[in-house]
Amino acid sequence: MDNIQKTFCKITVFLRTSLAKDFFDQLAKMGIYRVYYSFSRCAYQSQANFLTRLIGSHIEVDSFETIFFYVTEDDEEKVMKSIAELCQFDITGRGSIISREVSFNKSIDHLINQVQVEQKSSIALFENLTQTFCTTARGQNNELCEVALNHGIVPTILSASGTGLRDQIGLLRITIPKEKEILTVVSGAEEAPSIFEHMIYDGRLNRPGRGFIWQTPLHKGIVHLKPSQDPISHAAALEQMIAAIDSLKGNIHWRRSQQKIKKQKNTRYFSGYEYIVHAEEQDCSLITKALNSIGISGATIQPSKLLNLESDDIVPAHQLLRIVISEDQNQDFLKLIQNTPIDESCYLCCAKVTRAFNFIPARKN
Amino acid sequence: MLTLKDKISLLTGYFKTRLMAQVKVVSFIILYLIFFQLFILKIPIENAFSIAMGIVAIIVGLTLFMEGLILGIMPVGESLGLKLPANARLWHILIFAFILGLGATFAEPAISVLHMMGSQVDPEKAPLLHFLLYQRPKELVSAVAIGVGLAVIAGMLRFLKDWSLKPFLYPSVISCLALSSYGFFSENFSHIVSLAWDCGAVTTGPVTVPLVLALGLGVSRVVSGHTSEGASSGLGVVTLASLFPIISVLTLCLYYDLTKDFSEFSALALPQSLSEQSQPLILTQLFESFMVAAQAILPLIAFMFFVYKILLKEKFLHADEIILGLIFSLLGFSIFTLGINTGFKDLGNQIGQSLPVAYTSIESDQQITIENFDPQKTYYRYNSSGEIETFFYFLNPQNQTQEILFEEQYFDKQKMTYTYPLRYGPLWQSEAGWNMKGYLVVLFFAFFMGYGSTLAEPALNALGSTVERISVGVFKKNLLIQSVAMGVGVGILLGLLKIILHLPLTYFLIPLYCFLLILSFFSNEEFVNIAWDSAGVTTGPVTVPLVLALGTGIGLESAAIEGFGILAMASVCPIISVLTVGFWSEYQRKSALKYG
Repeated sequence: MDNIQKTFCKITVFLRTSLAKDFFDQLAKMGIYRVYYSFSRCAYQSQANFLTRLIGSHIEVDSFETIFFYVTEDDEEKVMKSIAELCQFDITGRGSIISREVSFNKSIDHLINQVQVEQKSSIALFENLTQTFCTTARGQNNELCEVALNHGIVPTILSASGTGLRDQIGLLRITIPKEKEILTVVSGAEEAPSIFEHMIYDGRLNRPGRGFIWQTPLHKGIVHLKPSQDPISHAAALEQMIAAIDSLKGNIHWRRSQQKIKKQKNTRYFSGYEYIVHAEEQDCSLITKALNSIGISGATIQPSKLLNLESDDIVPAHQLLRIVISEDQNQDFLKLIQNTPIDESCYLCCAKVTRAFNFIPARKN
Repeated sequence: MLTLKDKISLLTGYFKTRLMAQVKVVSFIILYLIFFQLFILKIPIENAFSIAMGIVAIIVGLTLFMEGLILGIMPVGESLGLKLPANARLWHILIFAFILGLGATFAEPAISVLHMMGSQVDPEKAPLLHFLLYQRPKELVSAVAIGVGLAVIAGMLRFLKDWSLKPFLYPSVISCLALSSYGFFSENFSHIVSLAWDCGAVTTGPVTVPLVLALGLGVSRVVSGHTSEGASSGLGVVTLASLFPIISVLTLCLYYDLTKDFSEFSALALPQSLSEQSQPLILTQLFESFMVAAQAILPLIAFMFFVYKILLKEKFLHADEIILGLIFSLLGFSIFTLGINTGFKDLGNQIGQSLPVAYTSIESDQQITIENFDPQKTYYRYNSSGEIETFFYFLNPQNQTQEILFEEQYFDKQKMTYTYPLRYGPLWQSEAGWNMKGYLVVLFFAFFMGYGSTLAEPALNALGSTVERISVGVFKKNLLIQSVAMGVGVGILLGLLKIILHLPLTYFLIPLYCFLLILSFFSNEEFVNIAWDSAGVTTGPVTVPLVLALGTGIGLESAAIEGFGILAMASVCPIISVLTVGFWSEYQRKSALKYG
């Protein structure tokens, strides 16, 4: 880990599309100019009616923006609090904000935003949160959405493309669809194991070719998405009461669901590191090729847009390449990255993974 | 590392899913047409074998073509869109956009469609229309091309500057309508209004649309806009490419109408109508459709390759995939065109010709001969206008007694035989010349025909995928296709109503477009882009031949001057339906936010 430099805070905001325009103006006012963003969608439970019962799915979707940027650790709390206040994240259904600790392989001064915020907000941030990521084939994550919704959490889904076997079979690769989706949920750390197990079980991730799941610890955050769109018949919506208790307690651990954990057989969990390569479009392919050579083939490429809110300059399209490396492969990986001729504009961002799972076929010996 | 068995199973799975997707898409319209002809009109289908082969060709062709679009054509457009804004100056981009627009128009053989539509036009009644279609076709195409070129320029500027589509919509629609309403003052001009609006609908073909969509998608990923609303979505070029040609063609017509005197206009001899040519060999047909495909795809792609590789000096990431995609799309497009020309058009024409059976009687090619016929053994009756008619009873082979009108011309005095053509219809009788039920059946047919053929349009499929991709699955491809198909159904129904009622197109267009402008004003940018774009993609290679067959079948019977205008109606109605869907989902979104 000697080539990993100073740690920073990555702040991620999930926001309703209709609120996004104002949000970007506010960010610019705070001095946050370098921002990555991607379109995403979030899933809700809808009111069950005759039609939805007939189809069997009661999940509805809405478009959301997923926005993230880097600040120094000192700025973390005040930035989060003022964004939470500006976007009124204490009201349910508007969006979430979370932060996590990351380190970079080289200096990224131009990506770090020099923030000018004064105000002190009274909004409480929750601590001890976990973010779960899960990659699946496009349109195959309804079961996973339901797991999250059953835990009272709104999942966010980003589109991505997968690499792996595809890149090793020449032109035959066209027969394997590359469209993937990344589903992500933020939960209390206590609830994370339950979500993890349920997702593996309900999403049948323990079968080949279904997907890959991992969890990383978060620093702080506010998670107030509204899991259902049912009309309310009380003075306050259930979600509003939950939000009130959340802020009284200062955490969301009391929300822990009563669902039993289904223990899986023959599952191998591992811990390790999540590496996110920030690269310009097409530069990622060099890295995936190199990865293939040491037998790491499960990378997910997520298209993203790097914005410069200061000016109207054209910024080349960006991609985020997510790779999860187990502890024992980590040294190989770092060596490989050092030896791969990567473009100057690529940055490698590293974060801890507490728990990960991937289907590995039984070896015949 | 893969065994042969693995490879084969990968390939079969791949082709099976692609093929089934197209079978699903095409089956509705095919089954509907066959069902309607056989069971509602009760007329047998001729050339059933060649039609079946044509249908197979359509499915195989569409499968290859769609895959080619995804692998080859769209990635080329997108890569170019990604690299162009950063590496070229603004005016370079605009020149590129203009050439692209021109090239797209000249490449896609839209003018031949207009020619086919115009073959029924009576030069005496509509000299200006005839003049433009047959004596100045080059000027007509150039007008369309300039319109499309300017539209691509405007579209690119929008992306680069993050402008809304609405300020472009209002003036262009209003000027289209204003120019069209000049038709109220000039009889000659009024006939050409429909042609101009159809030009707008026809220009955006199955190659241009995906290419332009992908280009927009690429550009929007690098420029400064930062929400999924507005210009940053990458849509909107198709809209402008449907509207601007209307303005340019109408302007051209206005120029000729004001400067040229048509009072002593004499029509040149028409080229032989396409439908009357004898059927050439299947191989020549395949070659011809390959040429059409090559003409539509190669020049555009070559131009884009040139800009990307030579001018921008960039490399394609998966060059082998792109080349395979281009081969797929070339092959697919030619097989598809062949299928349309051999089987599908035939089916469409048959049903177009037999559709009037619903409200009037038509003669078929089959003849019935009665031996030993004695004209003395007939009966007399008076009809409602007081004339005497002669008729006789005939027991047909199905043992049903039929009443048959005796006509002198069919009687052969030497042989003493009576030979008359088999007649069908009218299926729904009514008194006093206005056959309400019959017309209703025709309108009903038109709705589902429009609906079904739109489901199979490749350009709409490409748009649906793009929209789904941009919105990360929030706006489902299926929802878009269904709402557009409904809209096209209603549009074709209205277009037919226009022909049956002999109303000018402007009576329909002006109120509909005014309504649309109001609707667009209140809609959010995202849906305005999607809705107006879907208007441009509706009229493609599946819908147009059917509409032509329908228009000529009905148009001739009702003695309308021209069958133009149906396509224009099929473009406007989907916009309304998609915007309505947009309103509905916006309402849901708002109600979700209400309490939070």
